[in-house]
Amino acid sequence: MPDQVYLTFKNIRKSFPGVIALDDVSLDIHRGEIHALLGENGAGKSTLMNVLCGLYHQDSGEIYFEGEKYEHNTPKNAIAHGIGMIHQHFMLIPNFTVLENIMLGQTSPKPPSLEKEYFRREILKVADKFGITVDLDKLVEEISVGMMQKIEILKALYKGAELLILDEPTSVLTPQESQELFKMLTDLNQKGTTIIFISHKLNEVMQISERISVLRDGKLVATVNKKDTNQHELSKLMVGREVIGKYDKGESKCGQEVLRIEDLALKDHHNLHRNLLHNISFRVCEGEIVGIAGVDENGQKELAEIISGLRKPTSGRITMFDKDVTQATTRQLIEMGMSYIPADRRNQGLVMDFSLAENTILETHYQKPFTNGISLQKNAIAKFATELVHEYDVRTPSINVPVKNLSGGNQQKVIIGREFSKKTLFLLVMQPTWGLDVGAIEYVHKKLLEARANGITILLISTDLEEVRKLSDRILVMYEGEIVGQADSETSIEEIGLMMAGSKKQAVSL
Amino acid sequence: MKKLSVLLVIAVLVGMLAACAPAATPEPEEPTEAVPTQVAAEPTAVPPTAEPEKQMRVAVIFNTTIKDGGYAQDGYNALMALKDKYNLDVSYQESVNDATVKDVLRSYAAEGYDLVYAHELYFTDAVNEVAAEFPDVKFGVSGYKADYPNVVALDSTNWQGAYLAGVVAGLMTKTNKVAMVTVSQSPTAYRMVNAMYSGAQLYNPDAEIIHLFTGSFDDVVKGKEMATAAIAGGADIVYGNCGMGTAGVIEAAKDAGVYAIGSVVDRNPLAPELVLTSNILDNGRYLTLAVEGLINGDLEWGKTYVLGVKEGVEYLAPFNAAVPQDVIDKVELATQDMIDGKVETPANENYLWLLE
Amino acid sequence: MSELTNIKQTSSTFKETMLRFAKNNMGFVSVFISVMAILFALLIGALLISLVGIDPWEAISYLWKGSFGNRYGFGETLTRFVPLLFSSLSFTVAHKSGFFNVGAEGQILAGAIGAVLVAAYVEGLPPVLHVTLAILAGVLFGAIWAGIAGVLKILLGSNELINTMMLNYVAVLLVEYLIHGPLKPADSYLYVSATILPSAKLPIILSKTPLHLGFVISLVVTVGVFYLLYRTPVGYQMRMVGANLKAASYAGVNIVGVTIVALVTTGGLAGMGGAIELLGTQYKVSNGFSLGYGYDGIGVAVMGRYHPVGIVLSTLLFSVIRVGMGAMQRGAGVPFPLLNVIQGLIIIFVIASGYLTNKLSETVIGGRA
Repeated sequence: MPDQVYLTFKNIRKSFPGVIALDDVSLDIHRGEIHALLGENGAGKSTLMNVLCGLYHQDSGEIYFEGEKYEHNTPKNAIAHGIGMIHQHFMLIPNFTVLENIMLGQTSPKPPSLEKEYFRREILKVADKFGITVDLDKLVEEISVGMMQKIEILKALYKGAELLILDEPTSVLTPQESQELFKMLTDLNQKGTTIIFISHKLNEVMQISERISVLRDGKLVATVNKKDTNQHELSKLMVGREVIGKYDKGESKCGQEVLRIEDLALKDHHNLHRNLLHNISFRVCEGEIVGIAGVDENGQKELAEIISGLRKPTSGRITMFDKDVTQATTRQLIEMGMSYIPADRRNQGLVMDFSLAENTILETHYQKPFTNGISLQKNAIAKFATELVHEYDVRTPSINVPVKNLSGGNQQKVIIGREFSKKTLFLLVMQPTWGLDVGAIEYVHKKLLEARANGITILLISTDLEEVRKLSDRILVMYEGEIVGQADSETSIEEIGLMMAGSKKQAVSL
Repeated sequence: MKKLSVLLVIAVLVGMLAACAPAATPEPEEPTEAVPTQVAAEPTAVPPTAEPEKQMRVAVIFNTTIKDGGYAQDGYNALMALKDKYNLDVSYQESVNDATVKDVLRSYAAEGYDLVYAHELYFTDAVNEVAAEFPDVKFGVSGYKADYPNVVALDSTNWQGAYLAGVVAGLMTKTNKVAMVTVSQSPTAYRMVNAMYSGAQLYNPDAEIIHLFTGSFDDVVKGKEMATAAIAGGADIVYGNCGMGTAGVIEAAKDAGVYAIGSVVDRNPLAPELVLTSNILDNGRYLTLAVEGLINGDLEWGKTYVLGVKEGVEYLAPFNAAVPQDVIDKVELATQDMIDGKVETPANENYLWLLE
Repeated sequence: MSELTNIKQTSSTFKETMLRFAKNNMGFVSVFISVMAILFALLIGALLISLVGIDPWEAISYLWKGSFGNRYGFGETLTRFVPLLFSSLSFTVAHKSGFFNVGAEGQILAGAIGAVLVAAYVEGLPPVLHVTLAILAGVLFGAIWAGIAGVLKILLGSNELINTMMLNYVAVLLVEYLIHGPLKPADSYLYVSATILPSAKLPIILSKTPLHLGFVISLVVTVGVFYLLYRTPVGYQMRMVGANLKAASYAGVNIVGVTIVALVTTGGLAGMGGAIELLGTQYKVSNGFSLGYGYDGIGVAVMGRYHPVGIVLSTLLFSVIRVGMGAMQRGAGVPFPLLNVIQGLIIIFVIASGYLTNKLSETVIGGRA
């Protein structure tokens, strides 16, 4: 049974304007294995799988199923061939029940009647066979993210998937939920399902897969057996060089209090009974990095919006440099020395259609030397942008190219350069390394630690627990709009994980 | 250097394309043999006439399309008839608007037309303004004023047809109540209503007029509503002179089974049994009079002509079978009186019956 | 066989040469493509014209003869250019500031109403002052008209597309009301406003043509508008709000304030167009005052790709079409509906060629640097 070739990619090439996404990739998947596709963002993992699922069509190269050439790769044909892909973002309708979501798109045996009961029986049969327990009558919006993922898998299995592809499945899960998922995948695999697992996290790949294929810059670097390799080797394959595991950041010289948040609360203005934020109190001192960990969508976004003045809290008080800034506007805060590196650089941090130079003055364009009060000073702006490009090592053909033409890492460098070049005393950072490659991540981390060493106060909000642990002097954990625990870099991942899942709470006050 | 050569290649290609296109059009002469009779006939059909005098050139401007089924179409038909009759060289531009009318007038004037004619009331000011700039060109307008000696304006009385309609209505009514539906309560409308009243009173001193208005040129529903209300109020003849609303008036008459009178064009086909007649307003006639006046030299330039029954601009359409001969005779008498100038222009400020 | 490969090779180098040429001369190439698009549209138009039995070459030659072929046509073309340019500038400012203003038509009318109040009723002013005040009144009324849509958007969050479009109908009816009542001179036979006073008329700058000073004003304003957008902090903020509202708010920009400024600018420009059309050409307000300048301005702006030179050129093209089409009917007797079809063809082809140029520049320059 094992080692029987199930699926073969032969010399797959795919290019997008200006980028070669897949460069001559050849790869075998064996029947009944868990095969990991490892690589950094943009290495081509998802592109390869999207070609298989028929979302893209390769420029050249062939795909074979059990030795037979697979042509006409369309989404429909992919399902017919037993391919089920679980995307990073779930394709579920929140106000439908689990049952309705799974039966969506299936042909009823007696149209036009929906035959819900028929589907319920059939779905439960599949669920029993694979040992998945679900409550079919719950609304999707009421269930946890981990459960949603199970539903997605069940949906694929119900459609007859023999090959499951999971694209970065743990990025939305707590460590505990991830472990549950792995157990489920192992079970499915033992019952005969072949699994392709896309990830850039080495520990996960080492834990779950049998064989690992590493992609880098659109090329297949190696396919290795798990038992013949280790994390260190994999990371070298993935990045192409050695990677720093832990930073030596030294003691924080914690000084004066910079930010103080008291009893902050925010109600959902669509539903006043729902608290988006509740009972949040903490403070941040000069020269320290406070990290806020938590699974996505637990109120971090709202908290950042309130601190940066974009949104007003329902109640509570924010003090910055001993001034009440609860009602301050973003511009007032910026003028007080706040800088904000938002989570979504494409939509929040940059104006993609503007040139690099124009993007360097988003907050300061109305100040000298960029304007004389009437018109913008092109030379001053160009000089500033050129300096920024040099100092922050932004790779760009010119300062006049639209910033959308830069890679993600270089875009983030523009933002960091912009925020660090002005008078910054307090820095609010959210997901600063999302979607960046390892080199760029290291660069961002280095810059944040430099800022800390220069006495800048940093509040770091990230769903990447590794990042928070590496950088923070103190860690606060958010769960459902509350701060549920406090930790430091010595606290174990398991303990923080329990807090992130809401199963361990401790009172946190000023 | 390379750039230049590519440019040259493109230029040559485009040039060749352009050169090829017309060269390809003349067909080889094969078909001539296939239909020899026609070819032989051709020279005789169009003899190389040595034109004895210069063709007269007439340009006309319309504010809607020539297929509007109304004002512009009447003018266009008249123009085509004139063209055939007098062998004119004509040009026209349709759908000209207030914003561009002066430019169109000037363009025509500059192109040396003998007569530049604007077939639209609202172009009166523009025609006079442009006429001042081109004293050597003759201008005409279906309008209300001619301020310069090279302009002639032609307008209708508007009321003479209504007077004749009133005569018919006064003679035909049993209840002595006749309704008239107009668009508005403007001075023109008052004059028309008063004309109708005078006409009705001519042979029937008991005749009363119920006047109603729709407020819009194209509101068919309102026309019907108004006429229905008048019928409920005792009217047994409804006269619609309210643009497209007239069709609604006739529909109301059909529903109630009472007589109706139409306006502007012959409305008889809408209800042959009930539409007694219509007061026709022949819009094309202005243009005909202007052109013929220019040809015959009997037009007085710088003058505004107000035309009516006498000039054939306004008249009644053929009567339907319901109208007895003695009524027809009496209408003819009234028409003759009008031509002889024996009918006074009615007041245009208030209802005549209120002034008495 | 070897010959075949040979040919293949040369053709690929030819393609490469062409691409390299395109990359180095993108401006020239995009103009070339637009011109070809116009020629194509005219070719189809010529076919249609020949179908109705008119000599197509003669008919199309009138497009040129009517617009640039004689002194008057030249002046007329540049006169038609003026309100259209204002309208497209108005749409450009709105577009760059992130909202969709289809209300230029109504704002032009509002501007004309404002201007006629000053130009026809305020007496005894010296010409320069009278003209200036009348234009300012037009700007003010246009700005207010756009401002209504802005206030509705900010206070109620209602869509500006709907607001501005509805306000167009309101403006048309308002004009209708005013020329039937308050603005109609007592002795007038027709439903039109009073004629403006001689001191408020814009002087003719090319004798024996209708070309008036508004043409110069429109070019100066064009320079001003693009200076505002690209060289001033306010314009920078407007473009920031337009390109990425979120990033602008994260950067501390006062979104409401910038939106109001943008709306007032866009309405003011359209209003100015209405005022200048009144003072330079029409001299009175009628219910056929604008007839689609506001809508054509959208097409012009899209066709000119919101670029100053592009907008001036596409405005000129639209003016040539508008003026030339009249000449085609007068001279060659092409029926009016067919002229509308040809006009539509030209516009569609040129806009499509814009997308082609985009695609080409993506291919030769590449999505990523």
